Amino acid sequence: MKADNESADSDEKGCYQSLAFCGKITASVTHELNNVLGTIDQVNGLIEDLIEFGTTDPEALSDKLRLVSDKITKQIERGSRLIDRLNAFAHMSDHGIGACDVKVLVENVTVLAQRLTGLRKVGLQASLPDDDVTIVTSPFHFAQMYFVVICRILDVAMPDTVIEVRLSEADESALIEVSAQSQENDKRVSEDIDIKVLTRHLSAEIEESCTEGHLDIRLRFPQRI
Amino acid sequence: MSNIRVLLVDDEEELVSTLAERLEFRGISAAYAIDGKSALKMLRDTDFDVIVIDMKLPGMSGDDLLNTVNLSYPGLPALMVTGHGSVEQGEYRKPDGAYDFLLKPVDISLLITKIKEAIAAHES
Repeated sequence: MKADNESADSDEKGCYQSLAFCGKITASVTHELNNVLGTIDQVNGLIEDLIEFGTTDPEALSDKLRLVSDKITKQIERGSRLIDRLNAFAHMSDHGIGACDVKVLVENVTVLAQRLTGLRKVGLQASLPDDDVTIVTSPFHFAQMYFVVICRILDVAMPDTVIEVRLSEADESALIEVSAQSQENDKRVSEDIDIKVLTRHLSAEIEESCTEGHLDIRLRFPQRI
Repeated sequence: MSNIRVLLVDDEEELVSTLAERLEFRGISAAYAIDGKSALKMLRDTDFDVIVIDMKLPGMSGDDLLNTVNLSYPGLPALMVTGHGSVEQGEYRKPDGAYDFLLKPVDISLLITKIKEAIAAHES
């Protein structure tokens, strides 16, 4: 009975973690989409202002309107990219465990997390291989684990530095190496309870070291869970 | 009330530069900064009548900038700007030390009304 209760608690915690992950990503992207719409709204207002208060020289007005049109185009492209990323994120949970290219997952989550790291003045860059890195795993939990690791590193990352990520295929497993400048020398990401649960769930291995503020983490995901 | 000088602080450069241009059309002198550090530098170099701060700024947050402004420039009224969702969900309240707050997307007529109100309230 005690084991059953512990399992139910663990399942509930797992569900909560997954919802928190979805919530954080969605909140971040919708905030950015609001900025896209806010910018288009101001640019639209500027067109009205140009008609009402602007120059009467047709050539100058035409040049100005061309600049304004470029601003709108840029924002629409930015909004479309965000929606594509969010859509791909939403479809990660369409299937459970299966063969998937984790390069796509790492790339997508990196872009979605960049706004969060940017708010702390920390950069996030991922170096991805040319070839696919296909393993049999749970794409949703894989993405969640990568995101949670980035968030935990962000908690201690030195401002005005960059979190660097490198994905590769090693011994038929997927290897993610993350390095960052930490403000704490004794930070242990692997001791985080959320990461422990996800590591177990994905049959992954995690190694980390922190020397003089330089944090290195290696996440190894098996070819098949 | 003439020659109003406003400092807008928002990391969305396209948005804030356009807003500044629209304020200029209405006779308000507007400058902008895209982070708290640059805003503080501009405050050291130039006199402003009001500052408008987005809550979500990279590095120094909008709250931190507001606190610094209140300490270093007690005569400068501040308006805060925040995303729509956070207010509807009750997550956001006008911070102590701010004259008022506005929702994004910012309505320019409302912004100008609030700017004038904030200056008048500080002058009285």
